[in-house]
Amino acid sequence: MKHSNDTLVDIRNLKVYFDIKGGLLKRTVGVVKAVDGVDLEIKHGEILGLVGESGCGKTTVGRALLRLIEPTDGAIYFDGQNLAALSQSEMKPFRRKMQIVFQDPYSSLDPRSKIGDIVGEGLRVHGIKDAQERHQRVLEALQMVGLTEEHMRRFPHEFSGGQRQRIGIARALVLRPSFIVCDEPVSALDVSIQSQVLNLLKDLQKELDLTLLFIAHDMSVVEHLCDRVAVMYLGKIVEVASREELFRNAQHPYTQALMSAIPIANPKVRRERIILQGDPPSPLNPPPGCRFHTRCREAIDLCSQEIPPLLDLGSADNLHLCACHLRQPQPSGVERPTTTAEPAV
Amino acid sequence: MAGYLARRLTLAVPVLLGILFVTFALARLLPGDPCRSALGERATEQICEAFNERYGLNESIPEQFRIYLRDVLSGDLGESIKFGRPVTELMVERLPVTVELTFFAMLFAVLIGIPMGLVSAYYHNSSVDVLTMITANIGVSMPVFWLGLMLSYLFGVAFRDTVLWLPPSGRLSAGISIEPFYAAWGMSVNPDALTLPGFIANINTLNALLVQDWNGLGDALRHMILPAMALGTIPMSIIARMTRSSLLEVLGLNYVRTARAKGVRETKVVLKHAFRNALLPVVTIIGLSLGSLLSGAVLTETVFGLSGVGRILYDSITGRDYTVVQGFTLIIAVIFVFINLVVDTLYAYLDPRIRLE
Amino acid sequence: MQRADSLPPEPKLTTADAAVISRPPKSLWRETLERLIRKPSAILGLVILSTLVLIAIFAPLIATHDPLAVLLDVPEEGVEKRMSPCIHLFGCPEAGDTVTNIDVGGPITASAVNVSSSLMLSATGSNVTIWDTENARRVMEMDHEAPVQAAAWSPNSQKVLTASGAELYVWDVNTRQLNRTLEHPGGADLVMWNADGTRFLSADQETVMIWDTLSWNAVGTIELDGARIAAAWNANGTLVMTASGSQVQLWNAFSGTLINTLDHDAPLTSASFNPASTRILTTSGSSLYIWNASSYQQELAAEYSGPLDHGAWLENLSRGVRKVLATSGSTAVVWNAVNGDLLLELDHGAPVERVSGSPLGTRILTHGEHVVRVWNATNGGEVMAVELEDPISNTAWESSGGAVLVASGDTLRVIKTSDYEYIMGVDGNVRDQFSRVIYGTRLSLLVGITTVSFAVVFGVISGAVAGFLGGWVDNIIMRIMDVMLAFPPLILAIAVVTVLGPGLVNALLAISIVFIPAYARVARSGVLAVKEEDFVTADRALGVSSVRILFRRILPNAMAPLIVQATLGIGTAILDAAALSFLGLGAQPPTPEWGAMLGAERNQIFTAPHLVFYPGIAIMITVLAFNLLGDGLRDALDPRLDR
Repeated sequence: MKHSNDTLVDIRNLKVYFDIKGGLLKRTVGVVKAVDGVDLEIKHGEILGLVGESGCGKTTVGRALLRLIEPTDGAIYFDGQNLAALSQSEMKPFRRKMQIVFQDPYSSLDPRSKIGDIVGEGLRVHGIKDAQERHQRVLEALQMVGLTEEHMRRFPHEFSGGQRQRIGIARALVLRPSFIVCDEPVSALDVSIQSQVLNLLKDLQKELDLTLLFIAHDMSVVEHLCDRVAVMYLGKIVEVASREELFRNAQHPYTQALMSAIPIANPKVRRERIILQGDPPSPLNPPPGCRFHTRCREAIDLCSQEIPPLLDLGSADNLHLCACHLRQPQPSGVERPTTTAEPAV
Repeated sequence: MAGYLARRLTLAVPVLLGILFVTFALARLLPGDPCRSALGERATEQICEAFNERYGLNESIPEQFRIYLRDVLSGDLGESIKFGRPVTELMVERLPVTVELTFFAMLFAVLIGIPMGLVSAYYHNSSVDVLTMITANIGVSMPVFWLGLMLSYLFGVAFRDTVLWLPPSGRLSAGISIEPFYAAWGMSVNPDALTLPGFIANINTLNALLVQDWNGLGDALRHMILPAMALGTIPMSIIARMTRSSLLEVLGLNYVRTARAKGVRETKVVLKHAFRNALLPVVTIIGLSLGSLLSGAVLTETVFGLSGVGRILYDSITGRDYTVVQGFTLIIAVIFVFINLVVDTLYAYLDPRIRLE
Repeated sequence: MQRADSLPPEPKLTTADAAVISRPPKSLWRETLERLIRKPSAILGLVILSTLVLIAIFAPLIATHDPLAVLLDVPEEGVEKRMSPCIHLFGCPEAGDTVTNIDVGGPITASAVNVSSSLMLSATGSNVTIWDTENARRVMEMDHEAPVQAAAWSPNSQKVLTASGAELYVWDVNTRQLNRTLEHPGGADLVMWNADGTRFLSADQETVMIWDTLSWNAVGTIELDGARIAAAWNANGTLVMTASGSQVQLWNAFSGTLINTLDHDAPLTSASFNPASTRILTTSGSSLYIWNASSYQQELAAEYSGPLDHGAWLENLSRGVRKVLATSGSTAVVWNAVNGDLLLELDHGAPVERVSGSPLGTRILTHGEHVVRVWNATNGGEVMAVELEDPISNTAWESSGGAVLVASGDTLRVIKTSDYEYIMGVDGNVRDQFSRVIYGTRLSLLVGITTVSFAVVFGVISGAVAGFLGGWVDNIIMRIMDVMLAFPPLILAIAVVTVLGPGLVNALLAISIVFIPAYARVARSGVLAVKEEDFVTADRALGVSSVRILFRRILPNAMAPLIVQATLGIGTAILDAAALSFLGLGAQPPTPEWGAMLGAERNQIFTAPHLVFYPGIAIMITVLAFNLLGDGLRDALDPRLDR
């Protein structure tokens, strides 16, 4: 994996397993491998999109990144510091620098607190005792998202979904973080409101020089916003590329299937739609080898036996990573690097 | 289903152990000297020494607990300090009274409560509904002992010399006795030991039925009516409210609307389509009330002069009869746990969604 | 801030948003309250509850008596029954109804009622009969040789004194025998005992004789200047007052010597002591005077437009009533006895023969020849009027003030009035049941709220910690709760009280302990549900501490079911506390606690059901109020359940 100076977040071999307890004595009877060895690099000032079907583990990656879910294994480097090795109290200073915006604006705001208190909570926690200063900074954050001072005294249920999501963004912004995980921030909103919020995020990112991990399942949203895109399937990253590259030249069969599902606003254009058969397999018992092989129309025998490594298919200045046995880097196409392959579970 | 049952049973084990510990601790914590309270204040040191020896009271507490556990597991609940009889013997005598009372109270509650709820839901938001629900609300707000006293005044005194008169206390009228069915059937049963026939014979109504003593049965039933009404009113009200709300919920569901849209008569919609599904929470409530009836039984038995479990528990707690307190709280708690288990299992059986959790 | 300008136009607020803003800020609690007051049953609950709270706060003002005070020194047989207003369910006599009707068999020439009103006597010709007021049964017959002119009960109701011809007869009520006869030359037309029954006086028109009951001798004889208008003992039996002509004279009761004379300008028409014998009321011409009975100074003089015939006191110092009454023709007049203000003029409609105030000072009784009327002494309203065919010879208040005894023609009647004294009767210890029920409100509300608060605090802390931390902490806490829930609540409470010892505080503690698991469970499930909400995750992302998240974020949001449970729980707590008290393990006598009151009187259920009825009704109403409110709250907090 390449590591350059402009990397803000570097996730290495991140694993998040959940134990399934059952039986008479509540013994662990199974393990859900929600995230199973993810490597991801996020550069300063970029918007990285993380896409995949629901249940593929993309939300878990986002939350494990902020240590909201404890990672089972792996390292998370933020500004060179491995967050996974820190205790929760040692994590606290980092929480100023990394924030999260949630998917559901209805459950992400405490219905019993006023907006001013919700947004100001972070300031209070991080030692800004002076009420005047807190008020000023909350106001700034609210104004950044297009709300006014008057809104501070109101309760969440008095706002529309779009306004609530802006409050959620203000809460994330108030600590002036450098990195924000946006966990499907628009998928719960009406389509008409989505673009408002997306534009707001894009503007804020430019304005405040933010780095965003933008989790989504909607490719068109990603196309609108992101600089680079990572595609995830069943706990693993299958493809990472810049937005132009991915939308022009998707390599992985899964990515191709996702791309074909994007509606085109031109009824004359006909395009082959790749319909994925069946549901994604259970992460409790993932298929051996390439996890996508049960639904892949190009699958060969090898796919069910060996896990394909994430390899760079692109040029030096245009990274294009893909994990597929059938998409090998040129020109050394025959070489099959088995060193990074893990045994099938 | 078997797995669910097994899991529930295993969960009950620590609870049962806890119950054993609590009953033991409770009995030791009762203030006062058991010897003096059993034999009188003037019992000498030597007599008390012998007394403590006999009941194992001069062992260390952990040793006492060990002995207690061993005895309980072998079915020996000890001997009552006050009555000088084995606790199991007392159970044969007392338990049937409470079982009979609880049965009739529940019968009353179900027979009145469910139709009340049905009528209320059927005539939703009408004056009948309002009236029924007011009755139910009042029903849950009444102190059991007060209701018992008022009923015994109303039927025992105010309706004296009318056909409505009912005996205000006791289990049987003076001069009436019902032959134990095992004697009538020529079985040889030790009436004192903890045996099923002995237990059944002490349930007056059931015994009278078995020996076909209609006169005795009538008398036993007449004595049951007032206590059963007093004890059954709270569960009756709860059942009525539950039946109503659960029926109303089901009546709002799409399949019921479909039935209506098909032109099924409203009576049939309520009784055939909705009622069966609405019964599920009612079953749970019945089970839960069954447990709480035991609390009310103490008061009902006190008011109506019935010597059941509640009465003996109250007497032995206040009279510091250790072994009886231990034995009876234990049996009640076990019955309680068992009823809850049955209710949960029944619920899981009726509603497959529960088992998945 | 320039920020908003550089944004694309979309984030600008729409008109709908503006409408939202124009509303005042509203918290969820306020919305809940608004939903709550739209439910009639919840309103009913709130109304009952606030009434109960008001009753509890103002109990001393509402209660007619001290809840602990024993009303009469000697609880007599059947006293509680007679004073009972009975249970209205079974048909109660109303004001004006004759509850007892005794046909004496001849015209009544004299009648008297004993102190507790349990016995009445009537004189017909030469016969005197004692009747049981309750069931109109003949208790005792006393035959005399000559017609009987007067009769009187001794204060302890053990003896009856009659005057027949020139003889005085002393009868023993217990043995039903004549005790002795004494002689009053000239024949007495008035006999009267002093307050402790050690002396009595007998009087004819011009002579008053004072007798001693130890020696049965006349200890003094008072000769009056003119015809006797009045003669009376003072309360402690040291003075005898007489009135004749225009003079009131006070005599030493031991020696029969004159102590003082109170002169009036006009002939007297009446003179009487107030109940405590500290003052004397006289009427003379159209004037009314009040004299101090120790300094013999005139304290008050009042003029009326007509001649005054008959004066009477309407005084109950413990309730602050100080009034005097007098009749003038067919009018009864009421004055303030302190400042002499004329308060009321009651028109009886026919010449008034007698006026008297009820024992409590709340009612006024007037009777003419055929009509008996009872008036409200405060506002002058007529409470009842009974017309009788035969001329009325005598009227008296029943000792409780709940009835009047009327002798007319051949008949003795007990006629019910609606004096609010002993609204709910008196209990077995002769305490006013109504006052006790009123004071019981305080205790019950206190019991319900304190037990539930205690249980909620401990239950919520343990349940919230269990739910928040999970794992083995959760397991241990919830297993303990399971064990506690395995015992029927009341039995566990009985056991705990027995361990701690009976008493109200211990009973409260026991009920609280028994209630803890229920709240722990509700709190735990609430915390588990809220714990996974995004706004909690957001707090964790901000680095908020666990304790702050639990108490400031999770608990307030898990509170709704707890509030419902707690409100309903108050009702149950009140019921359970009453049950413990009923069993004798809770509040101890003489505390006015409803359950304890019920328990103390439960053996009276067949003879005095009202003693059981009213405390029970009070418990029921209180519990009902909390249940209605709890149901309303549940619907208001969770609109989905609204049905």
